[in-house]
Amino acid sequence: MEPDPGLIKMESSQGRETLSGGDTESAQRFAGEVKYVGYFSEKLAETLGMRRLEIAIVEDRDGQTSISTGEQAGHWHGMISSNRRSIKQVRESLAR
Amino acid sequence: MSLNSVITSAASLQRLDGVAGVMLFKGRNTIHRQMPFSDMRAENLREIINQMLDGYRQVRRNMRQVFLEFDGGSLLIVTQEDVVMLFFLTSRADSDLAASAASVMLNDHAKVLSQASTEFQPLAPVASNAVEELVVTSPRALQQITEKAELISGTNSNWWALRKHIEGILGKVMGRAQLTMMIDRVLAKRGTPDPYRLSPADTRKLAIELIEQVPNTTKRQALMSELEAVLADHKL
Repeated sequence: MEPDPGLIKMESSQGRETLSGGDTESAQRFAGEVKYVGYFSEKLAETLGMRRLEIAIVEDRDGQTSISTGEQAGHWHGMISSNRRSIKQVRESLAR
Repeated sequence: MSLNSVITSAASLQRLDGVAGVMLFKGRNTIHRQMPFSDMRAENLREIINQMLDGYRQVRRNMRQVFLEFDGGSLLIVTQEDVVMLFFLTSRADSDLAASAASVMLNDHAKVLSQASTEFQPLAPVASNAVEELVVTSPRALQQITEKAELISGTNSNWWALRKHIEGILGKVMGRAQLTMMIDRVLAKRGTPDPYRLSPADTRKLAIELIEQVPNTTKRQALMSELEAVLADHKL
């Protein structure tokens, strides 16, 4: 199956970030969300005794941001959508 | 106003398949807490989630829910105003059902919850007959909540798919930007900020109302017959 056209990728290595996919505004919003969610999920994982976040789906009244961690640390991919999809649908989409 | 009915409803959500823990809180006020770890750890969790949601409020993002899947379990945060229903889920859980059930519960008790304090309140001591009460009332409360939740789950996905079809139909007679603005205008005019929550009958009415915006009678009739086929596909 083809990956979603709105897929955004972010790679962070040695303090440098590389963004690809999506339009400029979506990519910047995605990067901001990754950092914000990443910061709090580290704290939450520590409290829960878990190692890492795998998927995040953040939904407000205007839309949905989905984030999936890659195999390598600092690699993220996901989408920003104005449509509201179920968690199941988003998980399937991120797995493609 | 007593929060007993809210607490019973929140506790009943723990009975959903794959739910390992639930917590209902408003600011520093933990209304109900049933987590599979210490109270201190649960309160730490509440504190971090409050900080996260405060950050979103500061940038005026009106959050609905946050789903965080970790390597050993998931957190599902469903929020309405300042109230947060938090689930700790295992991989067996149906996260969408839990989210819908929490949303229904928060809506059902919105008035009581809006009057609840955001300041720390000691949790009510467990009464001697509390276990019996949970055993007797929870399955019924859970059934009521999940029945509504399943209805909402169905309408949510229907609207998203249906809107795409309606946009496709309207796209034959107007531009993309024009039809998007028109749909938003109709939703605002009829006071439907969240079409995902409409019942199937109301969703059908909304779809017809959108096609009725096309001024040309011949084109409108042609589009309406296309819509009927789409509505039939969606069982509306």
